[in-house]
Amino acid sequence: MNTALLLLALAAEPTLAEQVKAKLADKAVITGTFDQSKQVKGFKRPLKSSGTYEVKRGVGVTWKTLAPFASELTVSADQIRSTQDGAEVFALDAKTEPTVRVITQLLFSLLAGDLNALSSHFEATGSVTGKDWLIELKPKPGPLEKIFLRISLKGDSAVRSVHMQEQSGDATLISLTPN
Amino acid sequence: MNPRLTFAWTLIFAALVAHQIYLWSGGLQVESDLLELLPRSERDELAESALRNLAASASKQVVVLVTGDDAPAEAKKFEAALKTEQLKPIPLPDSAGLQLLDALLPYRDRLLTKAQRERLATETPDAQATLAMQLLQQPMSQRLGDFRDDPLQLFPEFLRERAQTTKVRPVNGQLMAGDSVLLRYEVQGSAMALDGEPRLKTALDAAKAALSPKTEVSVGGVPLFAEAASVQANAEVSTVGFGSLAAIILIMWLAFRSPRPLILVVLSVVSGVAAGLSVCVLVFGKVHLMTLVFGASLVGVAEDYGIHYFASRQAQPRRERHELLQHLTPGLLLAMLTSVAGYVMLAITPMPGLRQVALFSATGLAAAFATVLAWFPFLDSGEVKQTRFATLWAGTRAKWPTLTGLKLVVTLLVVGAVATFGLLKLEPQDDVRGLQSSPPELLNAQRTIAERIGLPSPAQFFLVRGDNEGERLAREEALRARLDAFVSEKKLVGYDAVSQWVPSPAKQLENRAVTLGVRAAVLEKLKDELDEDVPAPLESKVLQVDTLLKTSIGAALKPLWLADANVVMLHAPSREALSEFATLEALPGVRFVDRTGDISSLMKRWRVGMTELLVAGYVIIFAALWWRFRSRAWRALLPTFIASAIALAVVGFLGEPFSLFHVLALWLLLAMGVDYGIFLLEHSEEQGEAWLAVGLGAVSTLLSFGLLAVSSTQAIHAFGVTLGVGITLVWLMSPLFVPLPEKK
Repeated sequence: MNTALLLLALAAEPTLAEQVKAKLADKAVITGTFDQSKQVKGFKRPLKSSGTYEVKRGVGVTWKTLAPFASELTVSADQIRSTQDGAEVFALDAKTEPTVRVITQLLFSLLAGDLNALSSHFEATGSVTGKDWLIELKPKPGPLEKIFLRISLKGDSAVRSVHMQEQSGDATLISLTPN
Repeated sequence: MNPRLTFAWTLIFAALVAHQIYLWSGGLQVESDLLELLPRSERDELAESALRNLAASASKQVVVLVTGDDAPAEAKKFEAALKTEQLKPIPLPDSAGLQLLDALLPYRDRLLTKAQRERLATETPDAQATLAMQLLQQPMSQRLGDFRDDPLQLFPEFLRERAQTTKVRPVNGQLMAGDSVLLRYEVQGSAMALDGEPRLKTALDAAKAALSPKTEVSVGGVPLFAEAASVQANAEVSTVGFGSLAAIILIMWLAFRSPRPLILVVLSVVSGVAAGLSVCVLVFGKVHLMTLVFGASLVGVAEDYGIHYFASRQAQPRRERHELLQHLTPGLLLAMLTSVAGYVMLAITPMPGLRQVALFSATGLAAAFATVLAWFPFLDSGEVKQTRFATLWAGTRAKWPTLTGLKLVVTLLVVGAVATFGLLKLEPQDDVRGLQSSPPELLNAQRTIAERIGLPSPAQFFLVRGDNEGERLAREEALRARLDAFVSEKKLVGYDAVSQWVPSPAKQLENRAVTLGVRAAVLEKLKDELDEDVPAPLESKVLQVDTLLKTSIGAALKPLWLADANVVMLHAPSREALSEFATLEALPGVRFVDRTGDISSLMKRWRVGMTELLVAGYVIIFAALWWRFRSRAWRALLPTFIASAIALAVVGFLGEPFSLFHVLALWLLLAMGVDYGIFLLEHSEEQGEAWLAVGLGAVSTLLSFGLLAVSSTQAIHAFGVTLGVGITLVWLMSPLFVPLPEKK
């Protein structure tokens, strides 16, 4: 009897994904500036870069680094393309390389805080306090496990920071300031 | 007749019945693999084993390619809608990519693609250092291992290029090829549908129907071809077998109006077919579907001896049965031997399928003959009554015109002109299509799948031999350098080779020198940014092929790595490339195998050879006839010759591709056609009954062979058309050249 009540209470509790979704502002386009600090094993100092970003729902992500090297990364559902001064550095197409979709989807979900999409590759735990939320992602067994140790997301009405800790010992902290 | 023969044949027949009971209670193994029909390579046992290896790896797989707007969801719907025990989904290899990564990671300093080597040779260290830093700056620049190990991320790039070999990738628990989802199934048990029910096709079609009509579904795999072939063969065996049987029963009934001749003739036919089947199984282990289709026509050929016996009995009711048969035996024996000789000519070709047909038919004829000889006089007690039908038929012989003198010359000239005109229209075609007949929709689906998932051509490949692993890989690399030129000229889309994954030991050392050099140069450029204690470069051993083959992805390359040679598979080679590939055989240890080309040239050689030999065949048969009939011999042979020419001319007029099989059909026509002449000449005093026997036999034979023309297998169809036309003409023409006996 008690168990049944408990299950009912649990069922009534909104899932973490729903809670976070409720906090996030429902915007089709998010733009802002970013600061990235990357601690790479073997380097004396963290590698810093900064620039602007744009996340368009259903379209993709544009990641424009302004310093120290100007470069642009455009990520759509089917393609990752990196250019420098308009010249292509590399491009990966889902038509020839279907796994590209995993990467594009991951980047998009991280920047949009789409926990539902992330849960296919990660175990998510977290908490919501007031308007702020915090999520810890641990990769499920699979290719991503080979790369990531864990990813922490913080935010309120938008994603504020992405902290990626990697198997290689490297770590990347991206701070986002939405406009 | 000889009671010892009767006793011996009874014993053999008992063994035959026992064997048939065993066969039909589940012991019969039927082969449907079309490859089994194809001639084995005349040149190389190794090429054969390579081919069989390639074929075996896919023999039980059914693949379904789902393409459309929402392919992943549609594919799941398909899986749920597919309700059959016969198809078991093949599970996705568990973390196959990771396994491969782990296996190759210790050798990463030795692995470079051709493009990487070319790029690294020209780039300056400054540019390389900048690129390394840029790569680090990307938000998704996570890497395998320490930055200082592989600052330019050459190893992931190598893996990415290798992965391009196949377009299939596991994505979110499904196998994707571009926008399509690939489902793989393994057939449980045998895909053979001996009852003619297309079970796999029905189940797959039902699942297809559950999807949105906009979704495109292509279904392929060897089992579906096998099923289609057996369903088709089943229908054809029934048509030919039962059609012939019905014809015989009708004719026998009309001619003799009594159950005894009917039952006995059917008995001789059944004993022939059973013996053919038994001997085939004993010799070949199993019997091929195409043999069964062709063998069904035996029903209409093996009945000749029985019919001849009863036609004589009917005409001479007072003559003692044993003595009558003794009188008939030399003619029947000669007829049987010439027919068997015709089938033996099929067996000398290097085509296993035809050998089976030949053995089946030759045995069947001999057995039917033995049944007549050993049993008929004993079982056939009582009278064979006269019938109106038989009398009318025999009577037509007296009214049949006879060609002599000027009439003969004019007829020959006219027939010769018409035949020449038709023969000139013949268009030879010697490709493998003559042996295969798969539904076009299956072939199209298979082509679509091969294109979308990037399957190599199964019929053309290179074999590379060497004394040891290192030599084999090095020789393969030399070949690949030449193939790369074809690729850049767009004559070839690409190729699969083991040395793309595992470079030769020499190449591995070269690669290592390059990767370590680049690494040192980049780290030197970035030394201000980096810690002082740079880790020592990776120490690695020689990467061996075995290491790759042990991974689940590498296992797919096993068909490319045989015990004695490597196989290099080709992707979409152009015609031009195929004609030039033979020149690459100048490279040490390299051999180009072109199955399609080999089979075509082999079929052409045999078509020409068997045509030339046919002339010799006529000479030999003429000699045999001369031995018995002397100056009358030409009368038995000429109708067959004319019929052969006209039958071929008809093929020309119909515009059908002219192949080896038409020539082989002419051999059979020669073998059987002379029988009619023999019967008529043999019984020059009993023309009416001989004509009845010839007519009854010919009608059932031409029906049986004519029914083969319905076959969708070109080879069988070719036999059907040629023999159907040919036998009809021989039958109608035979009396033209045999003058009626002087009225007494």
